[in-house]
Amino acid sequence: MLILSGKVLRDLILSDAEDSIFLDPLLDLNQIGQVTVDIRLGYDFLVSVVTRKPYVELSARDGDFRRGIGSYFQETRRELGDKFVLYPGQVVVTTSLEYLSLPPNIYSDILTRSSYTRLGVHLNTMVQPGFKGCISLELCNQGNNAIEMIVGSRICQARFFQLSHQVEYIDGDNWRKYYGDVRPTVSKADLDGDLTSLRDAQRQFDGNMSPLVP
Amino acid sequence: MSQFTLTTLHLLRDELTSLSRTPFFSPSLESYLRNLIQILGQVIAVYDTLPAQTSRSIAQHIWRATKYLKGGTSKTVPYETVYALNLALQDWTTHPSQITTALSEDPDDYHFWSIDPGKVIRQFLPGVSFNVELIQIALPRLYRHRPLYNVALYHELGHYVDTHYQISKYSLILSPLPSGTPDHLVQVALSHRREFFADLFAASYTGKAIHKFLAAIAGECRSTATHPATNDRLQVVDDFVDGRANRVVEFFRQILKERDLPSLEIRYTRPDVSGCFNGIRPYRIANDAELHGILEAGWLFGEHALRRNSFPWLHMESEDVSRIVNDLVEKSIRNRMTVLKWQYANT
Repeated sequence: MLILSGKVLRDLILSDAEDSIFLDPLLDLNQIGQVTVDIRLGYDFLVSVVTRKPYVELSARDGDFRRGIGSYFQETRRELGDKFVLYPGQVVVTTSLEYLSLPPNIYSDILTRSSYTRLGVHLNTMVQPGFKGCISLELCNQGNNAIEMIVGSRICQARFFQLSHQVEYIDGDNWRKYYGDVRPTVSKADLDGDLTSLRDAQRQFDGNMSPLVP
Repeated sequence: MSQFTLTTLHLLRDELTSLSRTPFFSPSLESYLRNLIQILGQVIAVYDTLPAQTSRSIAQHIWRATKYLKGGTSKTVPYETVYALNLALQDWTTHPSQITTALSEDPDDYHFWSIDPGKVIRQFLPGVSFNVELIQIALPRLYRHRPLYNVALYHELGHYVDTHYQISKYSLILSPLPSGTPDHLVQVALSHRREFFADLFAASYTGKAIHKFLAAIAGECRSTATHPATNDRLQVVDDFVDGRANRVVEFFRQILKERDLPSLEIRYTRPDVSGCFNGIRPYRIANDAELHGILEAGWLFGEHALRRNSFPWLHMESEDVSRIVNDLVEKSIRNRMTVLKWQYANT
């Protein structure tokens, strides 16, 4: 993998070609640095709230009621320049202000900018080649004090890497759960196909049934 | 005097005071709300001297206004659509006004509430003044992230413009019904004219999009006391958008001209979004005309994408297609809003 530098990034971002990096709105060209592009905080938020259910359950047992993951989050919006307060220990799902479309041969890492890491906000996520949408940012304040976040401020930076070959982000058999999202989406971990297989596997061991005996 | 209404007024004041501590996006709404709380205090102070009907009426109108004001603070209303509506409104009036949007839980509940509480309250308390006129519009909460369905709000804004300038009412003077027409038929005629005007208003900004929406929501509806048959409405919209002669269109054009109001004309430009949307990218809106026009473009593009016979739509579920197209329209509008705000702040 080859990390893309400022000049290359600038050319790719300012190009209208299909295989360019689409990043919109790019409010300031100075967001493009030597090896990174600054990413701004978006305006839609899903704020984690405490419910009567003691934990987020991903896989229901037969006949059990499972509280939807969405019910652990409350939706709210802000405008550019508004503040959003991030409380200690709170999980907030938001997105980048920018819509990002990556060509099939470019991969990106998203990291909190140092200024925010020093305040206790840590974020580390990745964007697959071919991704299209606003980048999901899962914020968590690991410090002791609430932090004022300003919508539109540069909170993250993206590093871009060129792959030696192209990757198909979507194909007929492999639908992406967060494709084309423009606002934060709650986790769809409960939709992972593996969970059903794992539940079935776990059943095999119930009732003293040996998995080796049909 | 009934304690019931007095209690209601106190509860409303508590409710509005609580709302006032929620950060608003709009300074004019903040000012309006402060005013309303002050007026409630005045009404409560002179409650014993007011006729029961007066205090009841004031309470009802403030209560209704509270519903729409709450929408403004819920931070979930479709601000992109409201932004587009505000742009359209500027074409028609410089009168200080504020669009407030309530989210309704009822199906297909798009409506405009035509009675501004300020006007009602001023009748009883003449010294009272309001900084803006409230334009109270509602849409189903379910569609808050479906800007293509919210073209209906342009229709509702058309009702506001009609009410504000009394366009349909004036039409009954310009083109009266035969003498002796029963009152209920006059009311039917007035209602139908109002609907036609609101459709034309919406069509002047959203073109075929309002046709598509009307056909989807009320395609089979026949004429009723309140609404003309949908087929008739669609015909008027199509003739207007396609530039064909139509007597309803001409009728309203004449009224607007006589009243020295803005003309009924196509006020949008339909952008070619296919290159961007086929690449699942938002479109960079160049001007206000395109901002309205992206709604027609989105509807037409959505029909193409829903056929799912070309990349990238081939293997998608139809609901994913619908979601993505609506989201691309919403994000295109939002990006335009963001860029303009940024440019304004930096010039």
